Amino acid sequence: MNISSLLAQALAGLDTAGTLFLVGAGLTLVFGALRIVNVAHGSLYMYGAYVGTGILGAEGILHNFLLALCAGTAVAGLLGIAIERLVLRRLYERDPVAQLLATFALLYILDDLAQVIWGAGTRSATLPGLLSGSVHIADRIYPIYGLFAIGIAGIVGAGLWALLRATRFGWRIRAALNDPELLLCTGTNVPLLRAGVLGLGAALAGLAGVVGAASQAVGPGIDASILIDAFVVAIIGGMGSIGGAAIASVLLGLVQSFGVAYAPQVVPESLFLVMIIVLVVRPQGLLGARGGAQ
Amino acid sequence: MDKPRQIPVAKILRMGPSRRTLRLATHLALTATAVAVAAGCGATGATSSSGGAKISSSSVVQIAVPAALSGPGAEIGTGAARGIEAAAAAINADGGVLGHQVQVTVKDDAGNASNALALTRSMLTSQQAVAILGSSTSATAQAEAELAREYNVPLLLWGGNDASLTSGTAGSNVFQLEPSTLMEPLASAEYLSRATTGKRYYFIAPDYSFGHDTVAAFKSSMTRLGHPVTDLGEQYVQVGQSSYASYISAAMATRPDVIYLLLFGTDEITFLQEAASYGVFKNTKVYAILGTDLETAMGKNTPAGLYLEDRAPFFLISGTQAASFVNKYRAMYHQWPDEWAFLGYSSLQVWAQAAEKAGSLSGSKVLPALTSTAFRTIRGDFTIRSCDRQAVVPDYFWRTAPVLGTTGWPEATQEFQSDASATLPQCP
Repeated sequence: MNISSLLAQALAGLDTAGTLFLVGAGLTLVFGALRIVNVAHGSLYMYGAYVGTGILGAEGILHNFLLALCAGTAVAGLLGIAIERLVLRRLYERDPVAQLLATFALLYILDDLAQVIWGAGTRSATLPGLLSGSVHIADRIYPIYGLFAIGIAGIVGAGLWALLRATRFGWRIRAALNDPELLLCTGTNVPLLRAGVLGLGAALAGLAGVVGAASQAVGPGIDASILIDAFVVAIIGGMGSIGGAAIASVLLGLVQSFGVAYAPQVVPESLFLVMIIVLVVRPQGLLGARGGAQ
Repeated sequence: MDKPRQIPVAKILRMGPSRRTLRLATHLALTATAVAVAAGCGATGATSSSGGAKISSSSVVQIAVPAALSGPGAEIGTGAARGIEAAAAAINADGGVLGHQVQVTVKDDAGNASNALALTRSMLTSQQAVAILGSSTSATAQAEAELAREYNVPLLLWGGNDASLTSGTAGSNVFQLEPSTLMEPLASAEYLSRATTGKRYYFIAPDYSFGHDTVAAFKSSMTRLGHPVTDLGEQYVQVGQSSYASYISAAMATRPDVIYLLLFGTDEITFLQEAASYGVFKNTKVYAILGTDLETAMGKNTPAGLYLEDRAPFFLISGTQAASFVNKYRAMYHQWPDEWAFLGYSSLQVWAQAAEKAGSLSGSKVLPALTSTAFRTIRGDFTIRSCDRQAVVPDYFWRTAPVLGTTGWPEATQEFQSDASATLPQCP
């Protein structure tokens, strides 16, 4: 074990944490504001990834990373709004089990629909030229794209914090969580707010999908795989807490990365072990305060 | 090489008892049905039948094909189903089997063992299928093996190659047409001991019996061949990882000569894409499995210099049958046929030739004929051993060309075909 190995594992862990945060933040935001556990969140990640792969795999002017980021984020965001308008809006007053089952059904329907649109095969994309190289950090090679993914997660995290703290939309989201009746008294258009929150959460999932798709494979089943990670992040961080999701992502990324290097026998169980420990010590999660988009 | 999945949509919808939930469930079910209809095979349990022109039921013989057409294993089942349907069309155009036209029914089990059990039973009872051609995973094959014995029909495996599937009483009606999990590590050891001089190995494999058993068998085979490896580390991972950055970083810290990679599907491609970003291929050789799937998915992004394995790569199989199939497949689907298409095609050929030799469609007659027939298939000629019902078939290997994209995919060097007899375990 030397400094360069430690640094390399730390950077790899932060790379993993970046994707975990992007997808986990959307899930926890939706739960915090709407009190809905959106199982279809994994599908929104997958749709962002497919759209991103399609654009990054195209020839000519369409092969544009910025376009892929925008299109994947927008498609997932619009799909999220459609889900809210067509399905979830009818379920807010129902018990959580009905909501859970409905979004669970949507996960499978969207999975099948994705296979109709994009087929059953696995896809991969080409990284944009500027981001495809690598750099030497303390005598170890590290991909530029990994640093980019960490940067994107940091920017999104800061943006979400600012949105929730410094804008009227953010104030309303927090009010929706803390005192929904007061929100009604202020004349806020609650249905519009709900659609906006779900759209934002979905857009974050889509963005995570595009960021992931540029360096990873896209195919059937990635929706369910990422969903488990997103839930672990949201639960450890505290359902509804963006700050908690950020801390949980970094914690999980580092635990996995150092576990792989120094205790590979326990890596498969490590994420869930961390989750159980947190739930025992602090049932509401690291920064969960019995609900609070923070 | 199994991935778990899943509760069918219909089962979820059945759980909501109230009027409002039922109304919502109806909407969702209609949507799901529309999707399934549009897909032709999308929803679990979806069916397709084929095998030629309209034929009267009295002259038809039914073949059951449970396969994953949706979910993580959809690529495997889709390829196999296409191959089997093409074989049925060719056999029927040639007069069928014993005067009967072959009708293939493909049902989507989504790679789920309980789905496979229910759908296969339905095909055996309601359609009176005389053979089962399966299966997308070893777990679904296990479920189908029980039915094959119960209904006394053969189960011919184009997928799911766990060596234990054909063993014991439970596997008495199962015939393995691929190189098994006992044969593959021996064959890869034979190849890598010739193709590389590196001795420092790092292993990355899925965390279940396939991964653990294959790594152990490979290492012992290398020792037996006089090329013992230095084991720098073994990582057994849960499939479905969204990133392999941590694993790659840990592997490269040991400075291996060779990374022996037993991942597949999205996991395999994610690993290789991220490995390229880490500059792994500059100084380290990487061995990976299911090469046709991999190159189809990665296309021009396939790293040069990869050592690849495949059970039936179209470009290393010679013969006019294979060439004709490749051309037709490309014309129909606008892509190269994967190994599942070849394996599926040959599975129906094997059943048809055994039935012809037995002079009967009855399972009790066809079963013994399967181990006493010299088969002539799209994958070449082979026999099936009677001691373990394992086909004597080779495994294939190649190295991706150093410069890709000059003459189009695939480009390969260091091509190698294992000696099937040498990799088979001895009959008791």
